[in-house]
Amino acid sequence: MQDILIENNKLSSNNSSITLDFGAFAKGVAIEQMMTILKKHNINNALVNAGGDLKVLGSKNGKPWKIGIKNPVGNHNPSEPAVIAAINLKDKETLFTSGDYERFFEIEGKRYHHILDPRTGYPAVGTQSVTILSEDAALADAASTALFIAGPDLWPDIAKKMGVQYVMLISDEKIYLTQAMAERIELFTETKPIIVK
Amino acid sequence: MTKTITRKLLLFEPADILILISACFLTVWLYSTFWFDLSSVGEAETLLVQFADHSPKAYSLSEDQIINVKGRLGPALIEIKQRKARFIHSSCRNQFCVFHGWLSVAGDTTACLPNRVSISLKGTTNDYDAIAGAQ
Repeated sequence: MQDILIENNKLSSNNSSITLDFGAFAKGVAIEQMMTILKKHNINNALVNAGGDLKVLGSKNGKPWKIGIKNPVGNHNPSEPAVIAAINLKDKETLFTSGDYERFFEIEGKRYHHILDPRTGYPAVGTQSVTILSEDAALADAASTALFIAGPDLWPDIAKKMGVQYVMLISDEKIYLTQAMAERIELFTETKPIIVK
Repeated sequence: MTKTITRKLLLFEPADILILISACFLTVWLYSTFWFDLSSVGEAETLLVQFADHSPKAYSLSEDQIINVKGRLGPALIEIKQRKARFIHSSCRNQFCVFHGWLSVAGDTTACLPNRVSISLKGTTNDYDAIAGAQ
């Protein structure tokens, strides 16, 4: 970080090998901007899906939008169901997920994924995925990354501080849900969820 | 036997028969609306492959094959195998589309924005509108 200069709301660096990745919240900001454009053109019913992170406007022919949530282990283990849960989304609601199961490589059985813990500089450990439901896509995007790094012990505090009510966190075959999320989500697993108030 | 059944049917007034038919339709509607289990939806039938704003091309998931698509940066290879689909090669730098792995549920989609190629799975009825997940 010492090679990055922050001045007048601009970032710069003299080190040409530095690259910045705004993946932790840029997609959320972009989706909100897309929604603004849609509304400007009087489009009141829409689903914007940015590769698994999404936001809805209005309804689908008067019914809520039906969204499946990918199983973190389903893609790489054919015996597991591809979808672990389903949820119906209402007008302006957004669903964001951070996970370690799409972008990673493995060395000697250890998975190195793309979400880095700033405390260690290494990929965050202890979480497989975090899904956030909110009305603010930028907040949901940032919160899913932050709670992923926080892990199964610290996420409830961070969620409260960030003001997110609807959270599902999957860690070591355990499923943690906030009370609000538990009332909205339908799980397709025999694992009994741990409800966090 | 036939006469007995005919006699019994004659016991019904036309309004009774109308109520019986309505009840049958109501039962079917109630079942499909409230009893249908969300976990059983999402069976994919077709792969849609789209380049930029061209019309998407549809491929049946019943036939295993490798599809070669010309993208903005170069070729993309998409594999259909055992009713699933995935990118196996793309001419982009980050290869996020390849890392995405298999699409197996109707509503699931992934895109290679630099190469302007997207793929999505479609089913017949009661699909998910989208599949949420990390990428």
